[in-house]
Amino acid sequence: MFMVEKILEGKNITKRFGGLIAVNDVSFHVYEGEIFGIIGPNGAGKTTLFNVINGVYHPNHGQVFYRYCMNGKCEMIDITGWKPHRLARIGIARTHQVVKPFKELTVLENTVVGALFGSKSDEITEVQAQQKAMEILEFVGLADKAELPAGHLNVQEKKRLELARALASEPRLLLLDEVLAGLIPSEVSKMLDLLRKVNREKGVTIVMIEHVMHAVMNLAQRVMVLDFGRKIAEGTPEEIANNPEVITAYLGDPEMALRFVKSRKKGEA
Amino acid sequence: MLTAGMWKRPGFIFSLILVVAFLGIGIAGSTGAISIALVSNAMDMMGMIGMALAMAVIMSYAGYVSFGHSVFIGVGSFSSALVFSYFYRDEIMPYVLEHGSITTGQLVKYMVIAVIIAAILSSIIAGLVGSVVLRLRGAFFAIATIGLNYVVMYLVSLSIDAFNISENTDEILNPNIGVSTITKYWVYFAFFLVSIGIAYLVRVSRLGYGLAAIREDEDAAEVLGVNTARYKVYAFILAAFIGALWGTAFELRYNHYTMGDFSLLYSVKMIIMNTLGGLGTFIGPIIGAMIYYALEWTLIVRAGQLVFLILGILVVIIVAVFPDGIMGLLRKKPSLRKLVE
Repeated sequence: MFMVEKILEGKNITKRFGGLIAVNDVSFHVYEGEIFGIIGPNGAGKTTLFNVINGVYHPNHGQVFYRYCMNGKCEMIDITGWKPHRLARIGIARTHQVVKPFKELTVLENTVVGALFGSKSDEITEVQAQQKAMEILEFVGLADKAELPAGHLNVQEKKRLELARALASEPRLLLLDEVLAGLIPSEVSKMLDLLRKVNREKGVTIVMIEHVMHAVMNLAQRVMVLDFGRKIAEGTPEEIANNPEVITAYLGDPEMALRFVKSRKKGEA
Repeated sequence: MLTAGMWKRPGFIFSLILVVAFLGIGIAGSTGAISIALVSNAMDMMGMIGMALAMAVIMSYAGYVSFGHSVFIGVGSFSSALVFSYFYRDEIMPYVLEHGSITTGQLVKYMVIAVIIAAILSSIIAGLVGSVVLRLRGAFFAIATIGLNYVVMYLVSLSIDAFNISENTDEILNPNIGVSTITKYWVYFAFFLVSIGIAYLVRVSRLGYGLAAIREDEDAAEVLGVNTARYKVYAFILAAFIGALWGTAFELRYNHYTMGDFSLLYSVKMIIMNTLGGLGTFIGPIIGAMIYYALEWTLIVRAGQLVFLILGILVVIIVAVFPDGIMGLLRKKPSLRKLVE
């Protein structure tokens, strides 16, 4: 068995807002190449944790490490408190729960911004960025909308654009904040296919926050559960679905948990 | 290093047409084919476009309104006045007394020195102040720049006192250097080329993409890798430089620096021209400047001071009825969008 390297590691991360502890002493690690799910009820601290990883917030305690590779040499570096734009440069991309398209810019221009300022920022020219952006738009199925202002897209297309912009930066690690929320079931399955493609074809490690449970259970190799800012469980989707603490704290309903397991088995069949 | 097809974009073609037109007017003026009054109008229009572009780099591109942008007009004007008064006794006056005017070589020398001083001063002010106040968003940035305008105006007047530059604190008088309107026209034309060049190159470069992203959603821009703090300062420095450049030109033309060169009215005009033309574009502010100048000029002949009343009402109408400006209206239609970018 070969050694799988960690690409991201959080150690004892705590983030407080005044008296509220949004993230409480959470430690986790993500292996290179995997899809790692983060679930939990509303207000569990998932997005706050993303914001800490992503440099939007500085944690009160704890550290974030990332395996940074340059010229074939890789090492874990401490990225705690790095600004988001620096993280984008070293290969960490992120999408937002509430999509943030540049409305007045075209779909292509939106994606060019991703390519120009991403991990290849130092070497890519404006012309290459445009080509790169077009490739990515074809990959996510938005090529025919390239010249449209992003404000004209529907919700599903905006989610795809958000993903396209992130992918254009050629990330090694992709943080997805509820990319499936607000999509109808047929769109969800399309998006899942796309994410699988991103993970397998582009070899991008994915960390996803998700509310659409069957999707996480289907897609992720490992899942972490947060509740009131604390990590209450971590493991394979089956382990999570059968974990009594998760069932009481998060799912609340054992019946529902069973359904997840079933739906996952169906997905594999 | 720049965008593919940047020489074919409407913005470039539009600029080229303008440059050729102003070149033609200059040549026609030099040969006496058109009246000096007309040449003078063309100069005013170039000055207006220049001011609009100074504001455009920070306002239209990056979405930050620099309400105190007149500070850079004032700084440029002061730099130019300083240079002319420094050389006045030893170089300019004797020469003018003998020949009636300074040579083109002298003029170029003085203007180059003035522009260098203006560039240094405006970059220092914009760089230092920008890195602090550009952290403020929206209205707070606008208000901070108004404060900046008054602080710098006061510092300039103190330095005029301290260095005994003039007997009158508020003014440095530059007696006539004997340069003809046509010669000044070519100075304006050169500055016009510089400003439109900077504004266009910024628009189509990496910096332009970054600024557009900042204007649309600053947080998203940062997450996508745009060093927002640094890019805003770059834009502010360039916007400041274009403003200061025109400050030196205005001073050359009217031969007299006053505290009035720091008037917020300049800022207001710049903002109106940008809003009228449409934010977020390169062409918009230029068209806005042309329309504004045409309106102001026709109205001022007929209505005198009433022009400000009329223009004021116009501004209210613009903001209320089509806040996105002329280009904004066109951009709304995807089919017309290509025409304005």
